[in-house]
Amino acid sequence: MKKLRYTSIDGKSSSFLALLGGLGFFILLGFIAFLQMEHEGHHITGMSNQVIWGLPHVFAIFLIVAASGALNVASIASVFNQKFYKPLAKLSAVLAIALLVGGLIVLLLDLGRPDRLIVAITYYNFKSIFTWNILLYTGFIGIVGVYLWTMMDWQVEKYTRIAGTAAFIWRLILTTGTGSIFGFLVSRQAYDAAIMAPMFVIMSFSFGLAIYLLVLLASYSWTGRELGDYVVNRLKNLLGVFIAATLYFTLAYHLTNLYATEHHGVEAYILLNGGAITAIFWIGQILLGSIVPLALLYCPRPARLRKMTGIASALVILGGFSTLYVILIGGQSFPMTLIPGYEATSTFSDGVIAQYSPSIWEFMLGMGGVAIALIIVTLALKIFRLIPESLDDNFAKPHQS
Amino acid sequence: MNTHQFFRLLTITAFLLWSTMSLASGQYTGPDRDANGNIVPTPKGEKCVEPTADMRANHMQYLLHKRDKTMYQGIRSKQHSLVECINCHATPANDGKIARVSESKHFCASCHLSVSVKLDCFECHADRPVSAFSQLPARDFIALQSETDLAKPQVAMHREVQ
Amino acid sequence: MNPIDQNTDMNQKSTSKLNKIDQYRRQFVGGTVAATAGLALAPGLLLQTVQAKPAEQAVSSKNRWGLLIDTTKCADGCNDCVTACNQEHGLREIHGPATDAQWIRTVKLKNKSTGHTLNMPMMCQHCENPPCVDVCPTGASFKREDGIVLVDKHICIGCRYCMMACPYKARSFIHETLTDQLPVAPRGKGTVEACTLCMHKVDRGDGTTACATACKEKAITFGDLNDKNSLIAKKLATNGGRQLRAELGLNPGVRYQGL
Repeated sequence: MKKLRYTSIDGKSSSFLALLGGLGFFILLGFIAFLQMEHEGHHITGMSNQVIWGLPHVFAIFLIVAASGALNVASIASVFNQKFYKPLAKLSAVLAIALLVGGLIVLLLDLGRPDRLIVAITYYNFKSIFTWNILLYTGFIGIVGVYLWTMMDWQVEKYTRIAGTAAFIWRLILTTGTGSIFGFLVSRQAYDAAIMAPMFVIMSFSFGLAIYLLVLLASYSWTGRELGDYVVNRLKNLLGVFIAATLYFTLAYHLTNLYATEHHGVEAYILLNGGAITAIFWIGQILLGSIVPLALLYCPRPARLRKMTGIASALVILGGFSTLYVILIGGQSFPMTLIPGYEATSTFSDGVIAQYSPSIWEFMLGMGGVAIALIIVTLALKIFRLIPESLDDNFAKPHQS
Repeated sequence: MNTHQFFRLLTITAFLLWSTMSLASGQYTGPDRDANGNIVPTPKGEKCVEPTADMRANHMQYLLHKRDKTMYQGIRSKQHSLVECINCHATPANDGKIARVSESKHFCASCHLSVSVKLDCFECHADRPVSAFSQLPARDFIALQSETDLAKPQVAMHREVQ
Repeated sequence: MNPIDQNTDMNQKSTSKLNKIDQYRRQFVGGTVAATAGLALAPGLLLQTVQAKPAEQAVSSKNRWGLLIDTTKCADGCNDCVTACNQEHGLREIHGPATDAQWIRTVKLKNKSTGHTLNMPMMCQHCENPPCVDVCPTGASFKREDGIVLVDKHICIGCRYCMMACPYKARSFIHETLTDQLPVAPRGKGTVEACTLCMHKVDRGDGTTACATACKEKAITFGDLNDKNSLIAKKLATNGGRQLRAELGLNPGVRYQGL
């Protein structure tokens, strides 16, 4: 195995500047959306007193879930001592921080009173899983930051395994916390399920790796660096396992609900007659987000390996957004039961499916968060020496035996 | 930014902070004038609940303390209550109506505007005395009704009598 | 004897006592009432004769305020309690029912198999174990000693997790800039709010809420659940009263009869 040389990307080409400009444009749009929502109030969004959390939360939670998953490649290298993953680890840690920052910013800017951030970090109610999440999210950035440092500075390299293990445990708790935002909600039929926490962990594996793969493919292809088939093959096989595991958890969740008569209403809404929600579930989450990528990943055509892997990863991301849309919007728009056996009607949408159509502002804010995450990665690649100059098959040879 | 620039910024920030703080601590040019020499609107009552200098320096602490006592303990004594401050300090604007917080004649605004200290109490709280709510136009009948309820105790006598 | 006891058993009390309560109230809202002469009366005297909570006294866990709603009396199509609440707190129509605040709403319920219908008002149920308080990251959602569940809008960051957690959909988010809020009900953009059980009325010893006062059918009884002699406690003891979604174990302070 030859020595790997880590280098920063040149970042002088016009396409690099165009990339930065494009991302900057989306960040600007996101900022405009934030100002507009802050000034006008949330009535300009599609969110209401019925659908309380909307598209910004879909984006934010997707990014936060994917952030913890993006760290997996690094964890496999440091915690499980798989040397093959080691050259891929730094990018993994940077991507994790970037996605989390992007998600947190969206979450923060959607608050009714974002100006009171200082309140959120000075008053704590420790019975709230949200409070724990505030600590878990900020702690994650710190711990992964230290972990990254141990990977980049040979003087502290001996601590990489300890830092990596801490970051791995932390990220498991973090995603458990994110899933528990819904798991701990007794009020709504679609939530209040212990499976939410592990399901979010599995989802994070899948979404995070999909984003990692896309970023890896893009950074190698756009900078003309060599990326061997072996690396892509290993990662795409891993992605396939994660997609299947996510499907399994989705199946277990819905089967459990279908067994309990109490939940038949909400299940029928999501699986059968929920209109847009049903379509997003079957087409977005199941077909395009799981089945098609599985087919693409496990029917390899070596000549188009990268293309197939890229498409599959993009579909997994689409599926991830669909999954969170169904969980969030589907879960909220289905009415709550006041008295079992009785149908309710009122001026406050009791007993009816709440309508939700996201506004352009919400979409702009969400995309702004994505752009922030990507610009952090792009700039980090330019500033730091994160990726090896070449990950050709020669590098991978010792691992192939 | 180099070191020199950094320290220059630091000095400017420190000066701004200091000047804001010294204004807030009541170093005014006279009892009825603010820092810019504008006349501070005269309140209705004979004297304030605390000495003027004390109020100038500490009104926010008093209000904050009282706010929490009212909010969490239901203590509604008049001392340091924002509603009572407004009831007493209401002043007419140029058009003769009671000044709103957006106008410089409003007691709180008269000072906060000239020292550029953001005042967000009245995004939620009423900036006019309770009595002003009987003078609202018809579209605000909701407010009118409530004021009637407050001002005429006998209305409340119609409460549920079992 | 506490003030609520007094007010709910009002018919047995002398009119002079009623006047004293009103004197106390006039005293409390002295700033608003032109009759400054009333101020000359020694507050101590009033506090001795009228046992409304003195303004300086903190609320206590000796009381647990609640409502009892008799759904058999709740008239179909009547909206008086809602109107009264809106007037009391200055809630207005702004951008339509999807985003406007509704502290109280009337719900019509129809049994899917028998066709039996009933009407009832829904508001914050003032739970003993409120999920909104559990989930609030900053502690802005809180329960007062006397059982009233409130939002401290000064520290509410508008995350809306409490609205996700409430099984009664009792809370509203303020979706726009508000103007002309009433002195008794400060409300503002970007924070969450709900029924306060007319805490300003409770605190000044009215012994009732706007909705209870407004109900012509007397379907709503306000009172102290902890005071066995109060009307609400007696009614509950005699005829019982159900909690909505009692299976969640939240022990709401609002109870329903005739479900």
